Amino acid sequence: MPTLEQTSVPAWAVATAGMPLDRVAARAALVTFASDQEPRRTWGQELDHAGIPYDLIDLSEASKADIRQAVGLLIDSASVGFRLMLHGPLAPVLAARAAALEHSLLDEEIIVCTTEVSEIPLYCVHCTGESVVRAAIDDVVTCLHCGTDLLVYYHVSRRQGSFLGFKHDAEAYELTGAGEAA
Amino acid sequence: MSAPTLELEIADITESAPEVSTLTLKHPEGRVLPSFTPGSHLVLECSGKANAYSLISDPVMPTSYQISVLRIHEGSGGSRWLHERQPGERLTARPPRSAFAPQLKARKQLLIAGGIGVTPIFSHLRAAAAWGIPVEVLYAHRPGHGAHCDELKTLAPGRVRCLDSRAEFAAAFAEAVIRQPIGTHLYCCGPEPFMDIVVGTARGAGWPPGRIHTERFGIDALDPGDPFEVVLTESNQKFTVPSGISLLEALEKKGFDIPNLCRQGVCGECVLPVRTGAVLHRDHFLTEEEKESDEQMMCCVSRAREEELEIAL
Ligand code: FES
Repeated sequence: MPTLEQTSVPAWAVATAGMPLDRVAARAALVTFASDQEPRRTWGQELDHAGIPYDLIDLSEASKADIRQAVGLLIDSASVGFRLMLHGPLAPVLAARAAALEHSLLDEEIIVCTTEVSEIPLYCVHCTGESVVRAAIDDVVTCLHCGTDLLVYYHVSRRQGSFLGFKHDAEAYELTGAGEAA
Repeated sequence: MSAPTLELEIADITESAPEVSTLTLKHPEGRVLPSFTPGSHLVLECSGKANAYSLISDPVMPTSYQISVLRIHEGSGGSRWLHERQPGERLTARPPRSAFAPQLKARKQLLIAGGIGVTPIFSHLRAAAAWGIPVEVLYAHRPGHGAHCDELKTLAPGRVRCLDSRAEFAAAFAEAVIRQPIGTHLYCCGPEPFMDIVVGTARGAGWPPGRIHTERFGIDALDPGDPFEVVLTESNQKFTVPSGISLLEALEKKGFDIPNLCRQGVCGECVLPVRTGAVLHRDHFLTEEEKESDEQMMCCVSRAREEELEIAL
């Protein structure tokens, strides 16, 4: 596997991590997917301290579709100077980031803090379903939609907001087939 | 690394504002000229020198190029020379180069021009109007010296403000910069201090650098820069380039004959291979990737980022 910097996998997607606040922000939305008070305490305090007005939005119960819609609406009504701050487990954070990028936010305008990365969203290239599974890069897990055994590849789609998964033994299967025929 | 050149004939010269001439240039046989990206510039040879001018005309399959030239009295003479030309005369140009391209993903463009910096902004506005991208233009100029105001207003009715006082511009920009929808990109061209204020105001309003694009050439001299050491690996020499002296000038003083033309980082003639050291690239010729690799530098404008540069010369 190449080093993380050479891939599309953000560092905060493999280990919980928080990015620092952007103190020049004119306004922010603090979106949390974790039902604890942590973001209010840490980022909230910092935002107050820096005098940056913000809205606190709790999406801890929201589905992926609802997250995408809510984030899209939030951004469409914002002006440049706005920062989106995402706090919570990896899967909803990635879903929100995908919506934010789709709605023209730049990476510089998205500030992430992951609280949990052991469960990852995994896109199955075979059935296009997404499973949220307990896995890490290079693991093989079963697609919850089509039952295919998927290799978790070191690629996170910015558009889908999920890791890429594909049939781990596709080539081996072909070889066996060829051998039998010979 | 001489770029191929184009022979162009001056088809027309008009005055767009006091001291600003707009030149229409055509292929001598009337052929279609190379297309270009909006915001591109043309490097023209002006009696042994070379200057860069933004193209303001239609970029697609053009049958003519248009540039607007401000007569700069204290400059190196290139603009004065161009102002003395007559229709029918020929000019030598390098094909258009793009260093100020529009973001295709921009949802809106906030275009800010100061003085003759209106030229690339004109080009961006033309493209935005053609593609239906929402725009807003603020153009600061001296009273009675606004070039192309009417054409800008025709391209984007109701979206262009030509402002002839500093205070009016500052107030209009301060108000505009805080109410741009997410997805807006800001493009600015004008004198260096003007751009510094625009960029500073936008950053202060929370704009990330990725949304701010500036075109910095031709209008002002670059700052003198810090002194640095140069090691010439082939000819075994080491010397200091003082502040205010370019590496090109320092090499010429040592007797080196370095090809050069524009002496302002636009033509690419004075390129030197860099062995080691970090370069403070200040040219408009190398691409971003080329600049990052630090393998070459334009010695007429670029300097060392740190104390020393090793040049294969
Ligand atoms: S002489 Fe033109 S880039 Fe240096």
